[in-house]
Amino acid sequence: MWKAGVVVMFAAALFGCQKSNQHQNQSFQKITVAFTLQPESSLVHIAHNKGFFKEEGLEIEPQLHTYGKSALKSVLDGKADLATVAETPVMFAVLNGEKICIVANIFTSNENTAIIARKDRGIASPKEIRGKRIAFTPGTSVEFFMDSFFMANDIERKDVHIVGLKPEEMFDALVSGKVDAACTWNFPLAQLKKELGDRGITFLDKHIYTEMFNIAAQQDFVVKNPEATKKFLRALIRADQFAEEHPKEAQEIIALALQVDYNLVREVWREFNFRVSLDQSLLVVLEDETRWAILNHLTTASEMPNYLSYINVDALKAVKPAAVRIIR
Amino acid sequence: MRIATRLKLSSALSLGALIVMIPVLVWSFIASGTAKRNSLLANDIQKNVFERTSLRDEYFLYNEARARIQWHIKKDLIAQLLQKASTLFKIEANRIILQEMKQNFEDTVVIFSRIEQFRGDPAARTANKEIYQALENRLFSQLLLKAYALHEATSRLQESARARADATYNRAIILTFIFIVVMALATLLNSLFINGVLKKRLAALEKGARIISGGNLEYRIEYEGSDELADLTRTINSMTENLAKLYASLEEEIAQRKKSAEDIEKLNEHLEQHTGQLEAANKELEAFSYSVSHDLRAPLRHITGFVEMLHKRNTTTLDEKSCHYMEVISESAKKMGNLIDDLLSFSRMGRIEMMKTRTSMVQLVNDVRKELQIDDKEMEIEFDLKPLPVVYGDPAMLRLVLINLIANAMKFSHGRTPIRIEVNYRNDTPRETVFFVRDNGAGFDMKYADKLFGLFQRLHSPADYDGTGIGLANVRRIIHRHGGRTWAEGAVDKGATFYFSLPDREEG
Repeated sequence: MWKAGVVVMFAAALFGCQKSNQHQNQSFQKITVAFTLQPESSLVHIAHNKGFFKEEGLEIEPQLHTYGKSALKSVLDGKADLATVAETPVMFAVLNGEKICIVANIFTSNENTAIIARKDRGIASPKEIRGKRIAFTPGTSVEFFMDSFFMANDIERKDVHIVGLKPEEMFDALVSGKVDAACTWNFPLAQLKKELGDRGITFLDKHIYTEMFNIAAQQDFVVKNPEATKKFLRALIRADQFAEEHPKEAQEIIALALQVDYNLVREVWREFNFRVSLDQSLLVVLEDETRWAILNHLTTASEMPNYLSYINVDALKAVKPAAVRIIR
Repeated sequence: MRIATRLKLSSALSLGALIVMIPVLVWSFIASGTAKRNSLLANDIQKNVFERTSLRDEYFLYNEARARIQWHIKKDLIAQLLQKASTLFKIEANRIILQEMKQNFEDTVVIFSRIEQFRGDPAARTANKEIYQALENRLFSQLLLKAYALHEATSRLQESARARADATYNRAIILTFIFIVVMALATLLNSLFINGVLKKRLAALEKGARIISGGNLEYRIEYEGSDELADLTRTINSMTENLAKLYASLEEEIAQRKKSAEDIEKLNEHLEQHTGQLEAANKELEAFSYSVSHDLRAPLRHITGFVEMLHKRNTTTLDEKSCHYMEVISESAKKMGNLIDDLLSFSRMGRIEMMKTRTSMVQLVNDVRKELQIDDKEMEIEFDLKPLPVVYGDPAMLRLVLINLIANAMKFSHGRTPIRIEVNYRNDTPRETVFFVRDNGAGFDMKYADKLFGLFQRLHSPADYDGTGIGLANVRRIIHRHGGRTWAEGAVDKGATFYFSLPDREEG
């Protein structure tokens, strides 16, 4: 818990210094971006660190969050213009009637979310989770993964004791033994693996869930600020190219920004797929999760929204047409 | 630099360019072929991925085993194609895409297998139908995701391969174009350069040739460098110099010849003058000779007549010695008369007009033979007459020639038994036919051969052989008037051969 707080403070101080420099040039368009201290937001970190936003004519006010749901809430509350967030919080927001939209997908992974359990609590196989205390972050992609994993392993929610925690609370809860298992993402997933060592066991099912991290905004903002959105995406595309061409330097930037060990970043880096795009897959995932939410009564909505109305392809189509692969 | 060296250098450069460009072009077209092959492979993968997607949907909709089996066949085929692609695609970016495709493909296989597994477990399906359906939907969503990703990656590979194929093809075309342009430029520049050099040199040569051909052999063509045209110019200059020398010597010779011709002309004029004078003198001499001969006959007859009259009157009164003198006078007068007759006949031979016609020499010989009674048995003559050609001449004169020669042969063969006379001809000399009369008589000493045809020339004593020595002179005169020649061969007591030639002449 304390570690996460230190990270947030350090990052805030870091971006605060950069922000003061950017104020020197008043001609830049200023936007507030709520992004997470997660590897999923790596392209934003890299673009900011390398000055790509500034070079594209944007002055970024960073607003750091520990996870996407929080970042999206900042956008919904009008405290930020853009947010980095996974598909699940977006899906819930849409079901809640929020007028938001996704302007780009910036990250996908099948191995970034897993259940890590303590063997000393008698968990050696997925089925042995039954009856144990498992922590998760409600309303996030973790919850969807956890339910899918349970379903694939013939486990029902009622068979386990679920404990809702924030991501930054996961590490301490599992290490201290407050919970027997934690369903979470990086980081702290890799940190927990390292910390628990042989005492821990990780359950991963890369064929049952695909995490998709996105850039989301109020629809109104995107319509009124098309140029800013384009500039933002252009900077992210440059960051993507940079990460591809200079992976080591990109990993170092992320390690510094997220305040995690560089080797830890390097080890999990291959599991991440950074690409600024808008695929048909996003619609499939959003609809799949919507069906799940309705089925499990996690929302009051009962009908499937048309997610095409919640994806704005204009900006990405303008800066990188080939990256838009949504069937229209 | 010499033109040959320049051309060789040009050829070597062209060859060098060719040697460099051909492997580049070959490599380029091979690369283009490889890229095209890869593009076709990517298309094939895309086609099979699409077909497999259709089979997947068919299977999930109707749950037919046939669709599932077909899906697996396609799966195996795609696996083979991906394996093949991993060996053929060499570019790193494409290999990354291929890796991505493989990962997505394997994910689809695993997810599909899990769905198959669920569907193959009827107990599980009936136990918790709602959960089963939700799980299958979840897996199907993931399958869709992976399939989309596979499609998208395949499209990227397809696009990359197509772009690569286009790029390599374009590169091959551009290289070919560059090659053609470079070669054409090299050829053009070389041609222009050589043309420039040749034009300058040839202009100087043409100007020089024109001046020299105009007669100015003192002109020397200017040249520069040491190429073939410079050599040619030097040669022409040298030739002009030699021509000038030759021309000078020719002019000198022509002047000399002109002078000689003038001298000859003068000499001819003199000769004609002399010939005319000689002919006139000859005619005068002929006329004089005839006149003298003719005029001598009257006093000679008077002498003979008066001697005879004196002899008849005084045979008794004159002593024996006087009678002898009178006989001598009478004999001498007769001889003189004969001589004068011969002289008149000789003179006539030179003045009588010739009547030339086609004349059979055989006929003439036979006439002479008859006239001289050669065939008389008492004569004991073996007369050998060979076939003779027809000639163009005066038959009366030629008859006289034959009478003289054959009669001479008979006369100078007197005493031989038998007498052999041969009349024959030969035509071994050009433009004339040579006739001859050969006998086995007394012959003659060849040192006197030149005198035989002289007027009144005799090699034998009158006591041995009578005659005045006019016959052969007449023969020579007749033959000369026909344009021929006469000569003789012989040896003492070995017989003689008399030749005369007549020119082969067309009838005029």
